[in-house]
Amino acid sequence: MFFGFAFRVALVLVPILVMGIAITSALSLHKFGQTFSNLLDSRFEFVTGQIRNDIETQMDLGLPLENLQITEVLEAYGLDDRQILSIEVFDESGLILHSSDSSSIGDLIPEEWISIWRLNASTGNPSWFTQETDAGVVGTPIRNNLGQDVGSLVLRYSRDYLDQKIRSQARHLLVVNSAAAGIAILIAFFSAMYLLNQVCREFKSMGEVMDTISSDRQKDISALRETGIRHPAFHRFISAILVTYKDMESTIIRARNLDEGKER
Amino acid sequence: MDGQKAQVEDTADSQVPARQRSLFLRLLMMGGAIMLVSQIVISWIALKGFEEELGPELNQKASAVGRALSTELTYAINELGIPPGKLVGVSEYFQHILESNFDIQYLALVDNPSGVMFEHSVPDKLLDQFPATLHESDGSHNSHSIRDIGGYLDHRFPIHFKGDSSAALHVGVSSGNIRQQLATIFFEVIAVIVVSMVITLELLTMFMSRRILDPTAHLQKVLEAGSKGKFSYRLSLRARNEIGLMVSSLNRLLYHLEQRYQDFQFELRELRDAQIDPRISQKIAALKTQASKRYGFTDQFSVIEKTPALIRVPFFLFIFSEELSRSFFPLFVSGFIPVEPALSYEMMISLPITLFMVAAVVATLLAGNLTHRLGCSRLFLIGIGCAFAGYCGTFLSDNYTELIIWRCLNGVGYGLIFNACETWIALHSRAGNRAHSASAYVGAIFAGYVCGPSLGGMFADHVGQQTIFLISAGLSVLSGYAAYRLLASSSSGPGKNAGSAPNARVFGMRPWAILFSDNLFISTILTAISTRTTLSAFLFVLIPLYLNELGHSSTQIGQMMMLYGVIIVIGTPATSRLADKIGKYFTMTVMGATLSGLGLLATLASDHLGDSRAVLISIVAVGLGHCLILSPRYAIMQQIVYRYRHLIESSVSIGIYQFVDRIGLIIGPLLAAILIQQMPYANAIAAIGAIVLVAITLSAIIANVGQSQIKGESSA
Repeated sequence: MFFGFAFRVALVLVPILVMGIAITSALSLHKFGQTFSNLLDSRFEFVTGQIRNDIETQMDLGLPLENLQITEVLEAYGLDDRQILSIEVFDESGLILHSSDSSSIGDLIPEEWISIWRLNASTGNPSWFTQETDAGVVGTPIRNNLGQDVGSLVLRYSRDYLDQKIRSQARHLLVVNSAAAGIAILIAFFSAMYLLNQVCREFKSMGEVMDTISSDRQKDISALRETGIRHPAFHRFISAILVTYKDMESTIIRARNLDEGKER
Repeated sequence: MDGQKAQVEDTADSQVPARQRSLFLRLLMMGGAIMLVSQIVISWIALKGFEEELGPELNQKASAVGRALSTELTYAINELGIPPGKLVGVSEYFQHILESNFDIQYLALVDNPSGVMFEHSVPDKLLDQFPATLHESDGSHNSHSIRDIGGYLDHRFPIHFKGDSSAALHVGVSSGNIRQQLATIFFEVIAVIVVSMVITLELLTMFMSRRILDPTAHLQKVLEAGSKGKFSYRLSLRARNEIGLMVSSLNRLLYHLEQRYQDFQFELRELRDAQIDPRISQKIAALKTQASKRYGFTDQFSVIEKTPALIRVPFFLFIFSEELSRSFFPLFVSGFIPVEPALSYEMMISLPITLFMVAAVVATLLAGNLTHRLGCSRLFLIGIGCAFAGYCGTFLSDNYTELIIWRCLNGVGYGLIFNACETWIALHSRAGNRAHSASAYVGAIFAGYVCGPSLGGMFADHVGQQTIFLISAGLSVLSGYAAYRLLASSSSGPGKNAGSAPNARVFGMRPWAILFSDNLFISTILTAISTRTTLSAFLFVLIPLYLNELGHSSTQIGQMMMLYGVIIVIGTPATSRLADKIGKYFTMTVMGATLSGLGLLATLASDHLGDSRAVLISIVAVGLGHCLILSPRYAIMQQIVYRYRHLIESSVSIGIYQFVDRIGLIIGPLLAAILIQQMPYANAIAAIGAIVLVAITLSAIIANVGQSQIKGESSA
């Protein structure tokens, strides 16, 4: 099956354009996810900061971490915000002392949380963040009135909410970008065809001229006339070919004349 | 050196007819313009969608703040029995809350008889409106309500005192805040568009070059040769399209002509041999000889000439694969640091990066001789092999030691590939297009620098940091495949494309001595080291630290740094063409270095320009300056390589140059560290600018001395 050069070049523009649009969409969506996630983290960072203030106020009154009266506060915050999965307070060994979900009290927190908390404590940051498969985690260190880290408060929030927002944006972008990509592809395709068609016609004419000469139908410059070929090197080339043919003819005639004694 | 008349040689690049080049540029511009417009439209639509989602989320934040504060205030008023008017330190507390929550605009506590009792950052126009809202009932008397007041989304939380909600807490979110969030995303989306455009244009350029420029350049070569009576070339192109059919016609015509020529020669031979009169026989023989001299018919298929630009795509893919992990690599390393590290935490993080560079520098030195023996394409493939093994090993690494070993292997691949590419450029460029050829190499590096970290960071968030190394391994295979297809020579003998100098007898330290006795080499090295030092000290160390101190987010810092790469990617092709046109490579490097040096001094004028603006001016000036330096510098190096090609292998000269050049990368961070211990960041940046200016002055003096010596010798 014959596909013209213009068609083939125009066709290759399609995947390149689609790829470019896909990269932009993916990166934009990624940036949206990051910004949205930062906003969520910032909200829950505020919440954890408020609870930590409560805890540290009680500790300033002399209460040890394990004896604090904060379960109700944790439960209230948990109930106030549907996206909060759990709020937990753990001690230096990673043992959960207080939780908005009483069933988890006495459990050990994941190793990863402890290492992030310790790493964060060494840098002095007020909060630390990590991600789980189904939850985002915001933590804040708890310090006693001597400034020592005695544990940490951790809030887990549902990633479903974030994922749902990203999915909805992805669907929105898919629809809009498909339409935009379609229009862009059509414009690119036809523009490329338009730009290349003249060159293709010229290539075709060049082929026809050369076929005419090589098939011995015509051996003079009139083969080039009215072809509309504006290719100086091609003109020179065809002229050189025709001159060569002519030169060989005249040389042979001269040699024959010499051979036959008609010329000396 | 400068002023040398460019010797126009027969390269594919110069063979491209103006019309085809114009068509190529029009197609490229058309593709780029359509891409840009569609990207802008898509991004604008995306931003509108983001705005709809981010607004409610900011309101959620305001609600969370309001709920927490109203609970505290209610506790103080009701449980502790402090009347609202008697509360102490509320404004200060509000100030503290606002300082750590930039997305909240204002906080105010309003009481029925007293009006606004405590507030922070409330706009004047709203102060009078709050008391009126206390009497309004919208059915949400006991819960919080939201209304739009004077362009602010005001969240009102009633505070009950003695059973009556006579007081209220107001938390304000400005719609300007949402716009600010969107502006942040907007700038990020611009960065996204830049990345996407760079990748798209790289692919478009590769495709257009392969499909349009290379065949038409080759066709032009055949036509030009034919118009001079040389009919020996044929085109080898199999394609069922207009070009393919035209090429068939051309080959058919040339074959036909050759057949005619053979008949002609045969007939002349017959006539000559049959002639008994020796005088006539001689005359016919003379006719035959004249014809043989006039026309060239050796019946050979011309091999499409390899161009310097062919290196661009494989090299871009490799740099892209290497840069994918750039944005998170320190964080990735931190996950491997043992509980009780042997060195400090910072040292443990920087060690794999440092050792990678050391391995790359050592490999660069070794690569000189390897390129000579194996050829550029093979060395490139060996480098890809090392890089592939390094990426896979990094993916499978379990501990810190393994990570370092595999990263060093990556470094070896990096060094080998850089040498292979530079040697390729040196061997395939000609006197008239050295800077333009080098721009393919420089452009590929910076296109990779611009695109890799952004996409790598995104992928890492979705597939995990370790998996990125698998993606890099895949990309390195693609790069190797592209190199195999594009660079490999059809006749594959060792050193086929290594530029081997048959008379090269200089080994060991002798090449070093020869090169360092050349003033032009020394002045080029001085420029190169100062450029590298600027890059590593200013861009990689001082900019992030200084901008961080000025309160910019890491995203903003990344965008400002990206600006440098974008300027290089866009500016290098233009400046390299200009350099080739005027042929004043050294003058351009001096101008570029002076511009970047002066640009760095802009930080001294921070008081007048503003700190951030001064840094931005410095980045732009350094970017523009390096645009002027990079390609011409490689062009000068290629001249030096060409000058000593009979004494020193090209790849060895390049290896030595690269080795010394990379010293700048080591000096830079050390210099930056020393300077920031002694002075503020702005002064440290200016000091580097001053060093660059001194280095370039020295470089110009050395080059001039060298030129005077050459003139003196030639006149003597």
